[in-house]
Amino acid sequence: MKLLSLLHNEARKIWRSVVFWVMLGAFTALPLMIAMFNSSAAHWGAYFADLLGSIASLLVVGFAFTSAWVFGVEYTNNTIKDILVKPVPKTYTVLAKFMAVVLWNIGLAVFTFAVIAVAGSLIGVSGGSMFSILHVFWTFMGASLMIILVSTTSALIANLTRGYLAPIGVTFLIVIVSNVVVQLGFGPYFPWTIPVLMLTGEELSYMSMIILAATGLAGFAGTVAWWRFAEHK
Amino acid sequence: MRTSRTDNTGSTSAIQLEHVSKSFGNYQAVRNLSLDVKRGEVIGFLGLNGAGKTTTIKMLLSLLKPSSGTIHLLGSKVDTGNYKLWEKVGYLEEATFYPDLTVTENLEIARRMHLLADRGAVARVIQQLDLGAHQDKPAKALSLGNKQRLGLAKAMLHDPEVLILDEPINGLDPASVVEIRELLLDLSCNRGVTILISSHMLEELSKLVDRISIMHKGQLIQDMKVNQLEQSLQKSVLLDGRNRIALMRILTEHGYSYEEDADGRLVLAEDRAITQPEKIAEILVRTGQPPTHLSVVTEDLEGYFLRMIRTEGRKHA
Repeated sequence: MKLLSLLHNEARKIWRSVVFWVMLGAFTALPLMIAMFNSSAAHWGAYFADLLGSIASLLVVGFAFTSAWVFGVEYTNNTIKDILVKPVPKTYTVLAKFMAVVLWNIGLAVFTFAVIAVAGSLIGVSGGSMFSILHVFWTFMGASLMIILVSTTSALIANLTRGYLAPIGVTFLIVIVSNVVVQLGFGPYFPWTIPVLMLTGEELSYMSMIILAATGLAGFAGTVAWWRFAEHK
Repeated sequence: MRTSRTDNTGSTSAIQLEHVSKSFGNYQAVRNLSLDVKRGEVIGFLGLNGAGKTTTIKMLLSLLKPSSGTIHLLGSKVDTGNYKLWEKVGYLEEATFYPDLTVTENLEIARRMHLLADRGAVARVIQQLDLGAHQDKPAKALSLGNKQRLGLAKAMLHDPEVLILDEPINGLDPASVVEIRELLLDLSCNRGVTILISSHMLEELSKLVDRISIMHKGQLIQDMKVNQLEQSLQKSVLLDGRNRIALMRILTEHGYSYEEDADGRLVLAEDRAITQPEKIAEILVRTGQPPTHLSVVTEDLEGYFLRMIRTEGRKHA
């Protein structure tokens, strides 16, 4: 009941913010542009293969932003103290925020897939069965969940830097570093490239999964610890 | 007569700080502060910027941990894990809100954070703080005064037993200041709410509080009841005339000592001047220099506060 009440609050803050609509706009315009300019494939399989790498990078940046915003906005509005001096365990507050982030990002992932599917139809992509499209969809959702998992680190950076701008900068840096890491062959061991590799059909080892889980857990635990123990001058 | 709430801890103290200190690196923001505020009391917390008031308030709210000493609110130790405590405490450090949400939505968020099942609480506090005309406006569109009212509404929403208010009347127009003062007096007198209030509006504060605590450079330099304070306020004779030089000469000839205030008027602080001001008038009339102004004035809270700070400064010098 407590958690539901807190989740309701977080949903209201997201839904009523300008950022919600900006993200929706960005996740409409950017996938459309990627679809229009990055693929000339006539077959659904080739179409998705052309796009999903770029779309995954978009999700890495986008999910990092939503995660950072949900936490960072409390610092920019100075409402962090309002939340801390309330009769609810801080773990619940953090959990409610992460749940809101997960729901928002899952919604954005489904929406993005729908946008690229509609764009494919509009540019005349054909030749695949509904089953094959659904297969890509589930792989896409799996990769999205992995990206959501590593985006907990953005939440942690937002808390440590008391705002949501620093994590955005860090995420752009990660995207640049990711390209180098993949070129050097370390992609399966770098948390932010693992979901992209999965999406492009690479086989992933248990080690990759462990690295991914450990990164997500570190972001979550670090955020909980910050809310529980940090001082607020 | 103020009412007083009690709870099952049996403690008569609402706010209790014992030998509390707080350092940031080498800088000691609060030094060995001990304070005991009884239930139902209204205490004014004074100090210049950097005196340690806000650090103390943040420690009371568990936003900062004391470097040493202990803090209890309503008999419960203040600790980051003791979240249940905030059911009974309301605070306003600065008016903060979600700018895109309306007044009602901001209060709804606060209601849910307090786990209050009573949905009517929001409507009641809107009425109490006279925010009805603004309830559907986004918080960012409110005037400074109404933002402050929204902050107070959030602090009072859950009917707290202790209110901790940092500059609650900042930005309010004079009519609103009176309104908020009456509201706080009602909370204290009729509902037994303990209020710790920090403000730079000293005259306003003196109309509201039972007790004054003055902090300076991290230390508590004065802590007294308002009725004791009244006895500590200095009296003096304020004197002016058409020829100030002549006035000074006559006063010196008759053995009076004086100082000049910022406007060049003469201030006489000695007892015989205060108890017998008519003698001064008589002397001046007799010597052909009748005063254009002669009055016995009592130091106001601001004057007292500045005198205390100056005295403390001299001690350290």
